[in-house]
Amino acid sequence: MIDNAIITARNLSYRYRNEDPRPILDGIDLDITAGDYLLITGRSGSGKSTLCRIFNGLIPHFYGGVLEGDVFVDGLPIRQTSVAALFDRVAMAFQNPDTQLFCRSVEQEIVFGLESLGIERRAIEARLASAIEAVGIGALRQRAPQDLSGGEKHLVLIAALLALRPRVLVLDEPFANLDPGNVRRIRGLLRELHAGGCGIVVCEHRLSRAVPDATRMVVIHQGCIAADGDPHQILAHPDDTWGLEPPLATRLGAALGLNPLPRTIEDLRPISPRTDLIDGLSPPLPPKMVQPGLPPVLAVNHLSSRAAARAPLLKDIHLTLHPGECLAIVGSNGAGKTTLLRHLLGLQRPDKGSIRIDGHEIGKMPVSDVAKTVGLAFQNPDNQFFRFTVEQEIRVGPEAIGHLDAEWIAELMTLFQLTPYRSKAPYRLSGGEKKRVAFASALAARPKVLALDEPTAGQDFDFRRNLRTFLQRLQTRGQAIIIVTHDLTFAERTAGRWLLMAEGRLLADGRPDAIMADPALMSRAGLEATDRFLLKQWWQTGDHHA
Amino acid sequence: MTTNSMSPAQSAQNSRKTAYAVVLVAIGVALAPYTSFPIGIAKVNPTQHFVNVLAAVLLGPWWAVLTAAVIAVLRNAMGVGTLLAFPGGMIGAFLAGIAFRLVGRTWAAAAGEILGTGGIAPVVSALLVAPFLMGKAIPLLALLPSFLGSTVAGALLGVLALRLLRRADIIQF
Amino acid sequence: MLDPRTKLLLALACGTLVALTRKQGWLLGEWAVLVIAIVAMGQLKAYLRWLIMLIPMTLFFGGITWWTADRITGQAAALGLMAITTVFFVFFASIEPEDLGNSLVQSGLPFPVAFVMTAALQFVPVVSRKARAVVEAQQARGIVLKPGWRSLRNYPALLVPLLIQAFQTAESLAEAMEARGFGRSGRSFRKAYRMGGLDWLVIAGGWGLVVVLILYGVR
Ligand SMILES: Nc1ncnc2c1ncn2[C@@H]1O[C@H](COP(=O)(O)OP(=O)(O)OP(=O)(O)O)[C@@H](O)[C@H]1O
Ligand SMILES: Nc1ncnc2c1ncn2[C@@H]1O[C@H](COP(=O)(O)OP(=O)(O)OP(=O)(O)O)[C@@H](O)[C@H]1O
Ligand SMILES: [Mg+2]
Ligand SMILES: [Mg+2]
Repeated sequence: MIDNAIITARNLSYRYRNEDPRPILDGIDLDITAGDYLLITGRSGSGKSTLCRIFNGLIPHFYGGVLEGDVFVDGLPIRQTSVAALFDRVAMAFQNPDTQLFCRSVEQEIVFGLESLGIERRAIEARLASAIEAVGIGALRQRAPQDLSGGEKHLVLIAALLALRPRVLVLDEPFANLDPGNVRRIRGLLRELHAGGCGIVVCEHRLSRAVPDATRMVVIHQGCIAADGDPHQILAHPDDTWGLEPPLATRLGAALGLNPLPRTIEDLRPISPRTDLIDGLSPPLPPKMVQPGLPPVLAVNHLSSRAAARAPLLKDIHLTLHPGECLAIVGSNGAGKTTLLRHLLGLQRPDKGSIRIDGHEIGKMPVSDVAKTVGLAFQNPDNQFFRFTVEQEIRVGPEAIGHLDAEWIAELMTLFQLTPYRSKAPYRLSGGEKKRVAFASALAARPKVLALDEPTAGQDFDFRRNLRTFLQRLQTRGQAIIIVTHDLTFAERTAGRWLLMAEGRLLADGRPDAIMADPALMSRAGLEATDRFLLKQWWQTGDHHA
Repeated sequence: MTTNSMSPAQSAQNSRKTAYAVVLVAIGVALAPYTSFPIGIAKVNPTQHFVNVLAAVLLGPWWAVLTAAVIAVLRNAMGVGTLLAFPGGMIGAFLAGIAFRLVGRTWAAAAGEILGTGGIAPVVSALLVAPFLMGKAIPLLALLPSFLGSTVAGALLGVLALRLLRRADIIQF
Repeated sequence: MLDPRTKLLLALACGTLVALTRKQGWLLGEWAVLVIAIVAMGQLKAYLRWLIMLIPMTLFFGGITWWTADRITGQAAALGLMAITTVFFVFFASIEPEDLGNSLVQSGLPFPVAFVMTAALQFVPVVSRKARAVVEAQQARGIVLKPGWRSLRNYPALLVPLLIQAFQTAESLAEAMEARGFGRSGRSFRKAYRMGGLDWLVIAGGWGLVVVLILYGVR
């Protein structure tokens, strides 16, 4: 046992239910110290969240199940120690911030844990003040947590945990729904905490956002620890079955045989350019697939919309979309991307301007009619599942509008690889599988336009890679596609055309490279160009000696 | 270290029940405007009874009474409820919980809810206002139909929902 | 400011007074005092909205009493119901549910009870928003969900996703509560609720007045 370990696991195995055929965690040995900034990664369903729940005793006390092996937290055996005795040593934030904030104000939220500890009043005030100061959320003190943006919610949650003065802070996918600005802010905060002597554990799929800060990485594969050590060493030679996507910098460094491996693309800036390598390592950029001569399927004309007496939500949006075209709407949190999609379907009506789909003005058309021509998959697939099988779930939409085509449904099931799950209950599927059911169901009535809101949020590398293939296949059949995202790496490889939005306005409409080439535009939108683009630009312009 | 009288697993179970009560109360308050519809003169709101049956089955009689009481407090505080929400909800919730505990069937909870809200709550409500009747008896039967309509609708919906959710393997009871 | 518990005891006193008042003139007078208090609190608009909701019930109740007994009893019944519910309207308009819960915890109410009250208040808008999101997601597939009898057969499309997610929410809320020490005993409180001299004075005065009125006037 490592002397200064705060969390120690020995030969740990776990099943949620006795009758599970295979343990979810299997023979885990792990020591975590306050000096670690540990990144836990692995495919979806590999057991990352399950492992985290053991660190503060939620497993076994809250989840039950069968736990074998030994776990000690701060020297206390987990089996005999309640969560209430551990929560201030190992502080934990879970995947969805909405359900974790339950107090009336941000202040109250931070104070709750301190009251649980039974700390006296003056100490509560002091810790409250220092947590607010450390996270920089003074302006939010009196706000209701439920009204905050996603990024702000994460900050409040971190402040609430920080106030407990934990030895280790565990965050399960804190970046999933955040734009680059918010990710940068939280990453900076975590680096500071780590430097201040607090252990950090982060679960994450998109490695480029977590690897540069981490001092250590654990890869979970089918419930076992497949690798444990320096992130860059592991990522230099990853096993294909782990389903990891190493950051571009690591892959280039490995290909060039650099030692030590570069942490970020900044480290590659000074070397002699190898543009050919970049093109070889990342998949080809999508072509612009527009058949000339076809009329647009979607035409939005000078659309403006406002919510009540507030500032306009959308201002003068203008766009056209042709069959076979894939368009990505990119922008930071709150830019108005989802709002624009809602207008396309008639869920919200514009004050000014018009929307024509397939030559028909949607005007005051009821939503259920517009739904025949626009298939929209919302960010959260759980909002729509109510049937007992995947197949029924996909059929229910077309049945409701009297538009059922059994052959097409069968084709969709094959396209999205859903045939094995056809008679399973949709709400029992994994996050990625649910998303695929939602996409198939959006396409079920053969809409002219397919729109996907944040299709990659919280999804692993496999899902993202497969989705790109699905979308390309649909495109070659002439399907017009809109994806809404702040995942620019995915957007540049999937869509040949970007629409850049900020504060309800259209900032630009064009090729991804043309948009990323304008730094002023990108910073106005609160986004950052992708690693691939930046490095290529530095190398091509000879700016690499800077 | 703090000493807890409860075992770690009991303490977790207590938190879980509290959280379910929170969410059921929120459903009871939030859904009321969507699900109320007029039957004759009275406006009927089956949500309260729906939530009562769910709480009785999932949480037991005491938590069900607490859930109903908190719904009443919040509806009063938001200016969308009256004093009568207290007897109107709590008695049914309690009987539903007891009935389910004794019989172990969802329909028993529904029957308890219907008896409590449709049969006993009007009596208690009448007692509450009895002083204004100056000792004169009014036929309580006259109060029954309005209470009964909504409680039957809500309790049946509750049983349906419970069956559906169990079949979907979302909850066990 | 008065302690929430003082307000509760005062409301109970007023409720007792109204319940025991027999003379209609007195009943009207008590109601008038309550309305003046509402105006002073700046709650008149909310009160009128609430009254409109209450009127059908009052008419129904008064009507039945009139029909089975006589006009005078009917009037008294309607008026009494109105006045006693108004007492509690004033009470609830004058407190925050959170303060009521927390102050009662300091007088021995179990903490989970107060917690359900405050936390539920935060989740009411969350559930409404969720309900709206479900309605929209179904509309986007052509399933119509509007209030009323016609779309009743589509109700599972609203209720099933909503309940499933509600229970998932409850599970993760419970997890989050545990992770913030909900189950730990020996909780302290940032805000102290203390019954001061003024509180006891007001309680004694209020109840005294009620007893005097009951003995010598209103019956
Ligand atoms: N409460 C639960 N009851 C039963 N099985 C569960 C439960 N939670 C998770 N599982 C199962 O345990 C396995 C591991 O799940 P876990 O949530 O730990 O994965 P993960 O690595 O965090 O995935 P993701 O990246 O999608 O969050 C999965 O097969 C999942 O279906
Ligand atoms: N009905 C409404 N009333 C008032 N404001 C609204 C309404 N709907 C959205 N907004 C606001 O409009 C802005 C744009 O919201 P929208 O959801 O479209 O952003 P988004 O670009 O999709 O962000 P994200 O990436 O976080 O999903 C936000 O500031 C939001 O708070
Ligand atoms: Mg997870
Ligand atoms: Mg959005």
